[in-house]
Amino acid sequence: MFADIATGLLSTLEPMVLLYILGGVIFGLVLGVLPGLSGITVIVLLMPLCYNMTAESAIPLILAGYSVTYQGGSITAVLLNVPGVASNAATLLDGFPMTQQGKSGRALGITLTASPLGGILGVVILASVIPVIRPVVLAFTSPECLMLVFMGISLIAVLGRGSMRKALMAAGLGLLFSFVGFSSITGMPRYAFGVTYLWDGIRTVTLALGLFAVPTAVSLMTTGGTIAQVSGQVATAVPDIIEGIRDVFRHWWLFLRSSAIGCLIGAIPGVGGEAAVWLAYGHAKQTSKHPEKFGTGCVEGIVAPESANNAKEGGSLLPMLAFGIPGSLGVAILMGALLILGIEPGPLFLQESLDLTFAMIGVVVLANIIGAIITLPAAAKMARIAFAPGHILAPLILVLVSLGAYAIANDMMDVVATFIFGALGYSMEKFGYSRATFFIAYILGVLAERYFHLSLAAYGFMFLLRPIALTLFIITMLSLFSRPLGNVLRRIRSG
Amino acid sequence: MRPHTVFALILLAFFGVVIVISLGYDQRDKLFPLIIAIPTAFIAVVQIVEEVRARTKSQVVPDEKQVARQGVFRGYGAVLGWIAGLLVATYALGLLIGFPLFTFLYLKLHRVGWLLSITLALAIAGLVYGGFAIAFEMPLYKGLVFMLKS
Repeated sequence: MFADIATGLLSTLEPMVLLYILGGVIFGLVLGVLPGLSGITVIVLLMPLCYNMTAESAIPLILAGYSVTYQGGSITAVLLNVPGVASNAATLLDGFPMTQQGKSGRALGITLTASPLGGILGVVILASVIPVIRPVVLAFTSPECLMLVFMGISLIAVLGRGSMRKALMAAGLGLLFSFVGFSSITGMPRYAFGVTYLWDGIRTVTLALGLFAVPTAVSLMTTGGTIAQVSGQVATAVPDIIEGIRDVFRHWWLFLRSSAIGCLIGAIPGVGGEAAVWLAYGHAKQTSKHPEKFGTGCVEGIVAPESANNAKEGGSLLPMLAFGIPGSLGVAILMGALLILGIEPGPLFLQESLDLTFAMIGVVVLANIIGAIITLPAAAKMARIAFAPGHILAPLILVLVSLGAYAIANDMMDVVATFIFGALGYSMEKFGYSRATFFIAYILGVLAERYFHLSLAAYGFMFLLRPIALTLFIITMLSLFSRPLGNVLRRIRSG
Repeated sequence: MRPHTVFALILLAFFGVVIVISLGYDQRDKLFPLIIAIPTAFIAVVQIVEEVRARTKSQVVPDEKQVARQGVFRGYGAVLGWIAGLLVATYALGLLIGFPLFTFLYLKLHRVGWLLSITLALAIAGLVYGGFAIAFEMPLYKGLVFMLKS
């Protein structure tokens, strides 16, 4: 086991791997600074490259880009009061007041230290949990894995924002989309509607590009104007930045607790990053000796959400690597990229590819360090990107999306399909259907069907009565029906 | 009918089609999709009923909202036009000309300066040719016009 860990970690220090990490970091930071373009956009735009790259080069590029998005997002949150990524919103509360007080350098120093260190701590926690979780993973056979898939999807549907009914419809739609193409059971084509293009199934990249990148471009095209609607102070001084770095170490205990909160929340599918940062912020306020200072430029108010923000990514990798269940949308898309590369995360993955698991952990650590080194001196300049007008970015994103779609198989049909999925993604966003639930269900659909048939073949319908499977089934049902049942009980009580 | 309801109806129709098509498949091929599609279609029906009930409660749409909606639709029409333009340009002229041409025209018609418009269009051409055709050795789609010519 230790040999695998050492091999995995050392592989990230190879020059070519470092180069890909650097490329991913720069791409992730630039897109992170741009409000509206999240880590998801980073992976989605990089995903087409998976078809032309080996796993050794694609994983560092994509994972590094995804890992540092939150660092980029913190910059605009602090300097411009505009969160680059939704989960940077909690940083605004104390980050921007600090900037207004002329302490932007100090605020940046805090965010750009707490965020990468939180990210590193998150994966360190993940790495330390892996040896413990391996025996647990071995207890999971196909019925348990099937129930775990359903539990993951239902938790994401129930705990996500908006209507649960719409989220369940989105989940059903995602599962059905995954069945398009040749059946993995009999080899017969299904749901192709006479279209030969669909025989190979719906391509993950076209779907991801359409669902997430096209609506972003459309939003930029319809709203116009600059992305950041405010004029911000972008001046920072080096001594202030150093003071901010010291602040994180002065509040090391809060940093550790917030990172642990982030990691734990990140590991629960469906709870999401935004919950993690707000919980950490709330915890910091509750345990502070001076809670009244929160919201006025308080150091702890930046340390807590920033450390939780990046730490949650380490946590969300855990259920994907151990069980094949992504903890967040970003990780779901990452899992899609891994599947394209021929890597199937799940119980067997931890057994057979421990070196790769630790290589991924090493990439996240290195990306965070490189990201911090790049951002600390360049933060003020990077923040100016947020003033780029939407009508300049929109055509560039559309062209990149089209190019990415075409690169999958050199087929113009993929470009057309991407825009059709774009229309679906935009409509889902507009009408409140969770695209995250849809995409996660789509990713897990094929696995679910395979586990279902394996369970049936091995145990018949009695597979539901296996202890762990039954427990997971009950949890799934409780999560699905607790809210409607609660409503009914409340109505009965109120007469 | 509200756009929300129309979208829910489209989804219901899709679930219905999936159920009908599934019935013709082999037992093993249809079992799991039906387990998913039938309850989802039921949820969709409940959703549509809720949508219609909510609609009948608030029938009147203020004039200002109607005008705002028309503006929004015009905006979507323009976006749709640009996307269609991108697809047509790429299909007819290929990636190497279609992408930069779309970028240039979009930027120029949104009052971006000549220098930036040309620079970004050339950067896109460079990315397509240098990044994809040369570095990844990807065969670029030449476009219908050039394919017919040759």
